[in-house]
Amino acid sequence: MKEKIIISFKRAVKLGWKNFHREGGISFVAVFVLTIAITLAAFLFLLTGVADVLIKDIEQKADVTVDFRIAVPEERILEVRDEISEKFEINGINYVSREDARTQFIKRFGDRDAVMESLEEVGNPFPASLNIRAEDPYVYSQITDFLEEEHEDDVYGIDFANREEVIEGIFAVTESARRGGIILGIVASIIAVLLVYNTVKLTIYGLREEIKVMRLVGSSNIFLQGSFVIQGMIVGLVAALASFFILFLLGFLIPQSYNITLEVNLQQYFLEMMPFVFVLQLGIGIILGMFSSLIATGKYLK
Amino acid sequence: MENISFKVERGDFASIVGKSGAGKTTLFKMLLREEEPTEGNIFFDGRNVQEMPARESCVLRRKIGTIFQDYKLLPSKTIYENIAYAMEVTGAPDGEIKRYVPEALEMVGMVKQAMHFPHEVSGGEKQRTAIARALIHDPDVILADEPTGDLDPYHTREVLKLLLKLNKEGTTVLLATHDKEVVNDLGRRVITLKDGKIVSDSKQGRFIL
Repeated sequence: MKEKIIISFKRAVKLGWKNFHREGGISFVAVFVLTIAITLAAFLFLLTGVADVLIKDIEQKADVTVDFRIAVPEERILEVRDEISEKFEINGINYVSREDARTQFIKRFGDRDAVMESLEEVGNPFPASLNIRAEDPYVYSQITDFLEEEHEDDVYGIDFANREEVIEGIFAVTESARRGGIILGIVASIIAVLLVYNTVKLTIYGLREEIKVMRLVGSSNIFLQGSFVIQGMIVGLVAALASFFILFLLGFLIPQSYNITLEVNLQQYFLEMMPFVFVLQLGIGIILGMFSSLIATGKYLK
Repeated sequence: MENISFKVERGDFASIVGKSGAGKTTLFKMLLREEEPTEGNIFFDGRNVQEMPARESCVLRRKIGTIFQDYKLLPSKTIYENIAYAMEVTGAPDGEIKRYVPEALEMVGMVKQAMHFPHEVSGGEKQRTAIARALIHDPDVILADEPTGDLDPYHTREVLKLLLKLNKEGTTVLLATHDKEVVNDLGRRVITLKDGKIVSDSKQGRFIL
């Protein structure tokens, strides 16, 4: 019995492979459609990942700086820092002392003699500050309100008011991008599955007479379906390889110049994700090919 | 078909004769469970075919070798593969397939065309391939639906000789034909159909239509 199962499996693989390369035209169309579907799915997956990295990067840039009056001692500022950390949900808060601020300024403008001379004259005009980053833009307005009410005398200025619209704008855009990505992904996946299923269905519709004959000469449904399922899996495998090759080339086409404006290297991200994407493509290709064949042949086996 | 009842014993050779549309092919389709009778039952080897679970239909069909009137060859497979397929579905070992298929090809004179596809051979050659496929897995029963329809007199004689030889070895043969000469030469049991009814059933019959 076990031997017969092995023989049948080997034959199903052989027949599936023969059908695949003999029906070249049909196989080409099926591979082509499946390649589009897999590439679309993998591309969306990568795009969602890239968008997520970019969104996080942009959101990181949306921060708020609280400047303290010169007279406020460091201990007091650190108390305020701890208070904010405890009371609000924030991603990070950095204390920049007056000295640090001066050092940063020198780092930036050290090569301009006139500026440096002026600085020598005035000493250290820079206030100590707290740099706050939050996940939710509404936290910024809460922190602003809190500081204005509780620490009015300590705080010299908060740069949130004049950046409020920009920050909220960034968060609104990134949120829309996230939602848009999910909806686009779902719609594209449904289209891809329907496209593949209908192509396989049409292919097998063309073979319905052959399926009938196979059954009349004594083929069991499992044996018959087995060869078509294997054929579908081969189509999926070839399409996954083709799709991987396309994405791999696209990965190299991403211009390096994009990387200047961002702190993330898109090409590096793309190429680092490729092994995982390949497994994803293989999985989608083989499963789609297999189930489409299974469902499409099942119709003619009743 | 209407009000039909007959029994074919193991090892019999019976010709089913009748004009086109008399019901010969329909009768074979019902034996193969390709079609179901609206009323009545068909028994094969003591088992009611209509009561068999659907998944057992393939087991029934493997016990029957059918030569179809329209050949029913698989267009995407070569002549060799078409014949081998009937053995492959039974789970026969590769060694047996490699031994028996060339023998069957030799028997029907199709060795040279073994690697051709059905669309590359003539009607008579397709028919000979269909015959080889029907015999290859050593079935208990052979249903031959007009097996000599597209053959020349030489190959017609060869096919009949082959069917008689198999019958002598114990295979039950049901031959559907409207070829008067073939039926009269055989001198075996003849069941005559007309408009879906049996009009005669004689042990050593002749073509009477």
